Amino acid sequence: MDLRPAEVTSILEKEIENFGGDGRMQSVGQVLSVGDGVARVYGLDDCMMNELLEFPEGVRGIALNLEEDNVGCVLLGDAAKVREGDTVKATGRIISVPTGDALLGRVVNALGDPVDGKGPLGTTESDLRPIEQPAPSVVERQPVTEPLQTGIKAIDAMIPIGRGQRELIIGDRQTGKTALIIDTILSQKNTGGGDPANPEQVLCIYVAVAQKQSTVVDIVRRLEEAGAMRYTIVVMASAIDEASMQYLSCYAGATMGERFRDAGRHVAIFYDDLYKQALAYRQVMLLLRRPPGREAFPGDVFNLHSRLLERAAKLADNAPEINPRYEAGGGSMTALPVVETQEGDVSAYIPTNVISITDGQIFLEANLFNSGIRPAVNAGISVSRVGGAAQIPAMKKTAGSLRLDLAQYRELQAFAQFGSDLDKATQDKLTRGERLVEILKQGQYRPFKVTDQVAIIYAGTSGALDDLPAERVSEFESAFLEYLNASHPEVADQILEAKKGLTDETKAILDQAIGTVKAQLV
Amino acid sequence: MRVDPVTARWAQALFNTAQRADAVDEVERDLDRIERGDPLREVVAGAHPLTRNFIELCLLRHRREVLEEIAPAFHQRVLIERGVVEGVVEAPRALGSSELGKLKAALALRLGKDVILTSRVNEELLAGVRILVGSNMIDQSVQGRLEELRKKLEAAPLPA
Repeated sequence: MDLRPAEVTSILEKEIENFGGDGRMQSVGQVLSVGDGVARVYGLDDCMMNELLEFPEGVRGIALNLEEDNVGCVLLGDAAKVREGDTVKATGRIISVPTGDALLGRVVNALGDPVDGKGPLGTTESDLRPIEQPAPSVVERQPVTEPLQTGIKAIDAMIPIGRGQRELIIGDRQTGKTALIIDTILSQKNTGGGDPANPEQVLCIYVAVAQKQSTVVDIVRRLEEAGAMRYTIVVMASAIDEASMQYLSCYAGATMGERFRDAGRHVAIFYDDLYKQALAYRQVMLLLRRPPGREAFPGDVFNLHSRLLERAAKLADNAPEINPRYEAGGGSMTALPVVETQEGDVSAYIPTNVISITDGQIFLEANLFNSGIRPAVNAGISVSRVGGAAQIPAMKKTAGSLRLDLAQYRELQAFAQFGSDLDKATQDKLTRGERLVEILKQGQYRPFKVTDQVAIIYAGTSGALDDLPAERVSEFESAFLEYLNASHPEVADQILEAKKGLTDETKAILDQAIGTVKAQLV
Repeated sequence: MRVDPVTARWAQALFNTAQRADAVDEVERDLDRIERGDPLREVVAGAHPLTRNFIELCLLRHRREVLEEIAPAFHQRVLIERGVVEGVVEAPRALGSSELGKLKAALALRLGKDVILTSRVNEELLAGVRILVGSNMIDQSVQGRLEELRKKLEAAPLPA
């Protein structure tokens, strides 16, 4: 680290002026034992839960177990530097992280220290916030009413997510969970043009828990290339970091998001993933000798996730009047946690816990993924329990029948495989279903605007594509949207403004456009 | 000083009985002899009956470790009874008795308890004193200040 001499001088000046000292009494203790990233400390009277402790050589720790004659704590740094008998100082401060605008565009660790090599954050003491904070109470909230557009047709149409909601993304490894998150982050560029100063811009926080560092680097590069890093914070506790850092990183991310939420901004936070976080928590708790429960997880593993996800909220407009903690009302924090399943087993301990906490789940299936349906969303068992209220009316009406049509298609598909003669109605349903499945397919890093989504889904559900070969649907899609945006830019506004579904006028334009593009294709 | 919970219970029991027999000082003296490493046989020979009973009971119950740790545990118990705390004051040179007296008075005022201070020379402090009472520390040494300064300099925000 390079310091400017002038800076050093000013710090020294302050030191000299105040050298008399305050004679403050500090609580100290001695290390009794240390190992596996946890230490037991004797002494430390008046130690607080989650208090930050200082070990020699700049190693920090957190007090987690306050016992009769010792304090169990996790070390947040190189445990090899700590030895038995070392003096430990209590800081009198609950573990906190820096928050605020300075973090946007940065990659930080669970303690908020930058790890992207772009220098210090430039935050001050007043930007620090404790990582564990109570969630907003009932009166401080309001129902979810605004959509969080993920830019993914299958989700925005059938499993809509509202701002302030908690929607779980669940699936086996290699089913596109992280890809879905990146697309959602990219899609937020449509909210405020990617300018973090624009109050309309949805800010994103990506918490990478126990991910490979190469994966995180790749994600950051993708976001930077797309100009999405400007409104994004990446909190990283990679696979080589201590288990304590891994489990704390989610709370650190939540605290950073809350600062924006409480100032009236909209935030989307992604925890990738909570299963690994639970594993890290289990490791720490077993080392601290807390009694293990089911699958050796500690008894409070449910609370671990519920208190984290409860911090996602849509604040009431008059929240500052109720609680001065809030600077402005109406802000929101939407949580999209990820849980990785093993062999599609959603009934395992952690998946069932998180499913029960969240307001719905997006289930990604390996079979669908492998058969080329990407995003591999299983529309049958994916739900969103509150997001429907947040869909724009045009989408709600247009996509209303989508779910049912697809469900019928899946059922009939099984029969159709026997190759027996099918009646006309069945054949029609199969034809329609095939086209709809094609429409919901989407390439990676290509989020759709909601208006484009409505237009193409209208084309599918209105039956206009039934006479088009299924394999030409994607070709039609790009031609159609290009034509529509070029020749009828007014349609986008009409779709957004529609109060009760698409107006006849809009429908006429869309029908005409579909006809024109289809004629060009054939 | 950390006391094992088992030893603490034995110490409590011994203290209670000694207090009833009005023999706390005698018992403490006996225990100090054990601590010094005097042969047990000699200690028992000259000991108060209570200490003798205690030693025999310990051996009968196979509690040698209690016997080894009993002196400091008993001593702590006695200090609590007298409302006194023990502390260590470190300084780079030996402190005079008037200096110690002043420190004691100041600490007594601050803690509301009498303080028994032992002085220890620690040249690493460079100057000033560091006082440790129980798990509380008052660090007024130059070494501590320099350490603080180092931390401040490391954490100082830099102009971009």
